[in-house]
Amino acid sequence: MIWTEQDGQSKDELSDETLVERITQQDLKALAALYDRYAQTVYAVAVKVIGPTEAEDVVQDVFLRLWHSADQFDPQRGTFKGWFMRMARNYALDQIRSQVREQRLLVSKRVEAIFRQASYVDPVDEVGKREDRRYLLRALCALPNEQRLAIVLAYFGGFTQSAIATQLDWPLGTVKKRIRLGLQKLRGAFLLQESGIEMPIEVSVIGDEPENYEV
Amino acid sequence: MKCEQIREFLEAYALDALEAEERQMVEQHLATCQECRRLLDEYHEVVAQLPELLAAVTPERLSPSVKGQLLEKLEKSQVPTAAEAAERPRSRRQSPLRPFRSKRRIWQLATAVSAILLLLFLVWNIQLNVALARERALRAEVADIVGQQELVLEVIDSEQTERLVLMPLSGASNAYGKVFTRSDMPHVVAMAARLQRPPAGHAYHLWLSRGTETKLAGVMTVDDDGFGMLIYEAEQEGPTYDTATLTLQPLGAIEPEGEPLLVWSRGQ
Repeated sequence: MIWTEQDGQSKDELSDETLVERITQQDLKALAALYDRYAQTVYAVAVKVIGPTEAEDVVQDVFLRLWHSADQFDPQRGTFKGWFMRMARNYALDQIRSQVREQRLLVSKRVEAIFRQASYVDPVDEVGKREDRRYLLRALCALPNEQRLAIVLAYFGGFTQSAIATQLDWPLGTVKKRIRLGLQKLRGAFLLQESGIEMPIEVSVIGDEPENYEV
Repeated sequence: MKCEQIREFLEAYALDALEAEERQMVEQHLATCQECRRLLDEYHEVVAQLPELLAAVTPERLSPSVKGQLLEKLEKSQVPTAAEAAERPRSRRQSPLRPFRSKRRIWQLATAVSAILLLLFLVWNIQLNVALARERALRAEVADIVGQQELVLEVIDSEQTERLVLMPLSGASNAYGKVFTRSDMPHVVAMAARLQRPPAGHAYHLWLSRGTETKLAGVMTVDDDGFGMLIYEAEQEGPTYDTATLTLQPLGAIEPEGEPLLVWSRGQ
């Protein structure tokens, strides 16, 4: 299928949700467009969570899944990005579920360290140019280390709160508190980012409340 | 459950970090509460950004060839849509009803030929998938071993490490092996060197015994240099054994058989 003038907007302007709907009509160009938007992201998660040898296969598998399950996306239940990222993340975690917990912990710690050290590097926004994610990235890098670690373990490691408590030897209540506080701060930064309010980067770093430092 | 109590779970829910019962409890509440649902949707959106944040700080780049391979695969597998199927000439569907004998025979011949072609295509497709699956399994094994380097180093290099050396039974072989355990970890790391490539369908099996109990620690994959490694997680920290043997057996063996290649036994 060829993009014709009748399509109106160029494929760069079509929303994710429009593209996924076209995939249900077997539109390969729509899949290609979503690939251009998200493949590098899926690859980054696969490379860090599973490893470089398997990562390319994972990218292909995830997009094959998208092709075959596009009709399961329900725009009423959230954005395409949310649905698709969940699919990609769950697929990546399924590949490592058989690994011993210590191995998954090591991987998660490595991912956390990448974010911790990234605060000293100006993040280059090559990925998905449509949004400016500096605020959110800064907020994540500026979180107290334990809050960021808890979030990374949960999201990129697939650990439940109780598993985090066991692996890191933290009280369960502390794990819950760190996850809550961390994610609340990220939400704050996200809402600021979405609101489009121009703020100097220094001011937008929300994570440094001194009284929360020990948490 | 009241909203205030449910709200305490929303962040963890969005991160998929709740236990099954907690998740169910939240979902029950969300089914009837718009406000909590809206708040959760916001958290879902935040969490959905996490992969892109990781991508923003990941220097590794996806090879451009992957896209082409993917699209090629999909083009080959494309099924006609309902619209295209409806466009097909109606006469084809009517042909089985036609009274003329010659037309009927041509139809039967055409069906037979396409059935054969379909069968050939399926067989080829299956073989291709088997080859791909095998390649992927091999790659996964290597990635698995490489990815566990840190764990391996922890086990083999500590003050609490015990090292067992496996020697060949026959004087002709210069292969050898080592099994590492730690008193404070349940993991067993086994390595072997100068092993021959196993014949098809066979593999090196490592058997660990204590008293009358013998366990298969695993099957060792051997690289081109004859080096093999495996990691086994025992039930308890500081596993101890009386003997360790490496055998070459057909895959799927459930007990040691034949003469072992490498042996260690306590008190040797």
